[in-house]
Amino acid sequence: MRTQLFVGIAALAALTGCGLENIFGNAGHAPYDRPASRITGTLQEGVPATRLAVLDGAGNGLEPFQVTAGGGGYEIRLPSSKYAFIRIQGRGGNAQWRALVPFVGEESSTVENLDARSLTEVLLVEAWLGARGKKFLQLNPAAHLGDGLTSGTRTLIRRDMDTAGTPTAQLLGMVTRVLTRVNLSAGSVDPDFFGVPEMTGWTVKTSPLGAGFLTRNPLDYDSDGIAESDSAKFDAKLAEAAQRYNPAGCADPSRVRVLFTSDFRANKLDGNCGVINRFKWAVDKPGKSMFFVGWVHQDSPVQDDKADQLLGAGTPNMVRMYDDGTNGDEVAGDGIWTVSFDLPPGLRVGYKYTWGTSGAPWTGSEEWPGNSRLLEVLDVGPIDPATGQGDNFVYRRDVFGDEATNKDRSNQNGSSDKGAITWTTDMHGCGPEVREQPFTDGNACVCGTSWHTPESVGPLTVACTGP
Amino acid sequence: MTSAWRLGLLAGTTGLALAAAPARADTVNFDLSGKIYTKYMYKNDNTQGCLSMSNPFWVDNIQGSNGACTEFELTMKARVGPKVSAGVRLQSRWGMMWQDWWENGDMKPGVSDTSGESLGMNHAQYIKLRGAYARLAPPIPTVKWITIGSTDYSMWNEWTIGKARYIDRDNGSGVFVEGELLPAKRLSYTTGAMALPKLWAGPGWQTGIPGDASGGGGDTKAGLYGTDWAFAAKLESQVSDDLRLKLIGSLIQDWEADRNSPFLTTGPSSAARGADHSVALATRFRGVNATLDGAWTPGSLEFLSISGLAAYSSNYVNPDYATNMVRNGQGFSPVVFKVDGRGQAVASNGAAGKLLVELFDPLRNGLSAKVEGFYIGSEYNAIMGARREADVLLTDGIITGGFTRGGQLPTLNVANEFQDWDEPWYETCIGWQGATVLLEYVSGGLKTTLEGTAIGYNTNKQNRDVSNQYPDFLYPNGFTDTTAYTADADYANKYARGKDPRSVYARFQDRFTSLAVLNAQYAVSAPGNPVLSGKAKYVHDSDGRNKAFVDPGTGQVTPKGDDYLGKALMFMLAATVQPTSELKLSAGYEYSTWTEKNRVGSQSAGYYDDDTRRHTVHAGLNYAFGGALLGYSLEYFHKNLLRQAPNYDMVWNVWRSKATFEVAW
Repeated sequence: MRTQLFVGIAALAALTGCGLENIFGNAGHAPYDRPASRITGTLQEGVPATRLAVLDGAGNGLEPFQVTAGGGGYEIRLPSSKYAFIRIQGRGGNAQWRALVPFVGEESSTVENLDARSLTEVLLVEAWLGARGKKFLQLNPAAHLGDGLTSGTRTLIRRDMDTAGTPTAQLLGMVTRVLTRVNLSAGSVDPDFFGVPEMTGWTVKTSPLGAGFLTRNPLDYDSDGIAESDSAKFDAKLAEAAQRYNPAGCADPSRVRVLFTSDFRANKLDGNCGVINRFKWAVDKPGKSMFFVGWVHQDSPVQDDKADQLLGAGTPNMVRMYDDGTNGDEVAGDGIWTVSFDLPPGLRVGYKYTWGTSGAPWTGSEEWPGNSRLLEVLDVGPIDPATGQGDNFVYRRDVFGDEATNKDRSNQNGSSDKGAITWTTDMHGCGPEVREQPFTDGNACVCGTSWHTPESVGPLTVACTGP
Repeated sequence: MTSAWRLGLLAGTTGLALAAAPARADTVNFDLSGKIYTKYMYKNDNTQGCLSMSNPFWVDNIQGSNGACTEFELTMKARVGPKVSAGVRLQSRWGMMWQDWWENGDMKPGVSDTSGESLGMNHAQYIKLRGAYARLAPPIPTVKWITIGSTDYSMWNEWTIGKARYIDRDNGSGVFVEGELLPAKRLSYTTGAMALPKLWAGPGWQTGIPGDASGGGGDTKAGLYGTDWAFAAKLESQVSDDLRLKLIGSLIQDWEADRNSPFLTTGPSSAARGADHSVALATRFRGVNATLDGAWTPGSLEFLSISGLAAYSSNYVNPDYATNMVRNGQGFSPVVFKVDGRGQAVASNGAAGKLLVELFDPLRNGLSAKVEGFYIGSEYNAIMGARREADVLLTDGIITGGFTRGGQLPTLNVANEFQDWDEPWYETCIGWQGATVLLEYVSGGLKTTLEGTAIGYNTNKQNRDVSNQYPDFLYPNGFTDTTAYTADADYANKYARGKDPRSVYARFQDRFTSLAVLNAQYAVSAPGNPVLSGKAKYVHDSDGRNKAFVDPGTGQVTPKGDDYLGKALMFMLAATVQPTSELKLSAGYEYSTWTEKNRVGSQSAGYYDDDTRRHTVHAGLNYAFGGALLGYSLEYFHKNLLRQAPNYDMVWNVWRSKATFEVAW
């Protein structure tokens, strides 16, 4: 017995250490699910997962890493990120469904059914955008969602759907009746219904209902006792209902949308017209990407803790930037990294960029040490001569590693004068360094000639309570 | 204080001091030995260095065939106490040539400047710690020895975790326990936990070296190797005087951080997300190998010995954490990336076995016989099995020649690198099944052996997936010419050296090989004790490749016409003479010729014939004086490679020599 005890102790002693802890700790570990932005909802029975697709705000396809469908429902998992105004599209037989997802965040989920109500909503917003020449990218999720009670485009649309006699309720009725003609076994190349409406002003140029569908299959979709063989009434109702809303939202008097963009392309010029060495201070390693770090400057007349947290509160490598065509980034993979914030006008911000990994320290990631860039949040251009108002954007373009433009203390501008900049310093005759300016692409030493209003994202708006 | 008191106090103090003195190694228990090894190399080419063939992939700057190099080794062993010992080896780095004056370790990539300080530490002869270990025998029941530190892994076997090749002989470290559960060797055991080498024991020949942004350097899907270990256990029993059994099992576990651990993903490190400041691990590679082997030597039949081995292997690669080198590395991979019918990664499993019957001069007339049957499954693979300097089969094999020795190993991880031109070559025997009959006759000064071997292949298959699952090592065709083998960047086969010795799988294979080998050695009774030796070998290697072409329109089956047929013939004669007790001289000649139909090419482009003839002349001497040893080998070979148009012919006229001088004390 004693011998066996010794043997046991010896065996245990022999088994401890040397990597066995990992086996003890991980042998039963099932790999974590990949972090996802998840969208679920109901789906017409019989529509396969392979016929589900996701469209981004520009109408391009997004690549989910997992799609499942069955039992009257679906689940789509996108790589964890922030997605605004994406559309879920399901295709089966002669029909096509769409649902609008105003927003889904990182490692979160949202429910959007692919049904008649979602279809009606997305048709209304598509028609409005077509009529106004705008894109989904330029809409604001907060303005669309509103408070769910009295404000927000979705709130208003859904309220009208439930109010008999409104154009929206009538349109919903039409959509519902058309959907009774779903034939999942039909082998249509293009769906008979519902395509994206194309608009000329408030007139539907291309109907969501396929041109020949109603000719071949007359349907009393407006329930007036007469079968319609064209889409005229449907299109007219769509245009009428769409005009009742303002998906762009209403102007936000308390905040302005600020876009910081960092040009990380090689061989770009600094404020001295010299070629920038991006890795003078930062170290390049696999897995790195661009981060923004900002804080409310001590000189700011507006001190806002929430804004400070939003900007990263001076902690490096916490606020990621995007170069994938999302979140305000205009062109995927072009080396211009973007992040946007909604900030109170007049706020003064200190900031800089880091080329790092999540949570990494300053050293080896910051564009330069000990200094910061400055920005005063004022929308100074472009100014609409008719209204005298700006574009509701503050757009800032910086070249990563530029020590001769907007660098507050040891500025390298000029050949020898290594001065500091203040809230009024104008080094290049382009206006104060700390304010929004026109810019020259890839060249920080030449003033820009025209202002830039991004089309990858809309100006900051709030939910409207009416059209 | 009285004198007696003083004496008592002194004695007591001294006693305490002695009792408190720590154990220490004095010079009696301290063994110090040194060795200087010098190598001189010559070849009629424009390379410089002291290593014929270095790493063929990441070509380093120590490979070359003209130069002289020296290394020094200092070994220290201490007997700390009766049951505790320790040792360490200090070894200078190999690679600095005598011509490399002033090299100090500075590295200036792409520059060989006039300061002589540019080639890096490879040329600086720095002293490196190697082979540090301690052994102790604590009073724990059953435990005989515990070893902590470096060892060569020779306690396992070639089919599980093999003895490290010579250059790696004490690079591996671990913790080992040896003990005896039953007395008189009735049941003894060994356990070991070994740190995995980050460099070669896993998919992509690594266990998680992070790759750079361009995908080079390491594996961009991996980056953690400090958590990776191998574990092994051995039970050994001398069941009776006639029967010995041995069971060995090994587990190779390569972990990576589970990249989806909440603490590692991009969200905030909040408790709500489960980001608890811990990181889970996910398997990148897991290899399991097990063998049961035994030997029966009946006391009543002294001439008979029967030994056998059964083996099993299972290798799982997680494609989420290991880049598929079959798909992305031109088919160079030491593991199979196997998937099931749904495309999901699954373990690649294989079994193997061999049985050897030996009759030692049963008729008392000098004639002995050995018969070995072997079966190695198409997916048996010992990723950490012996990579070279071992041999698991009785047969001479295909790769060996006259002056070139070698062997067969059950791993895709065979290493014919970091070696000189006169060293052995090894081929993988994965998939081999067949038998060897070897007859040996000894009479007076004559010793002859005659071998016949037939080899079928478990790897024979039509339309095997060598694009995504099974590595083909890019060059699966033709006899490997080890004499003219060169290590060109990225394994480029620009001098048509034949198949890669690691190549096991081909898209279309229907192969069969037979070979016969005659060895003879005769010691002449004359001054200088001359010994004459000779070897003749014939290999017949056929591969039907794509067995048939099925016309998709008519369904008609016709032969593809791509059959490979290789016939290799080799003769070698050599003589050694020892005029004095210190000096030994040798000389020899080898003629090899092999004709190969449809040797090189592809299914799409067609195949072309090759015809090769090679003459090799070899001379050498060995001289021993006191503690000094001198060796010298000189070789010339002339090779003609006659290739079918449109390929052009090639010719080799190569002189090369190697001298070694070592002195130890």
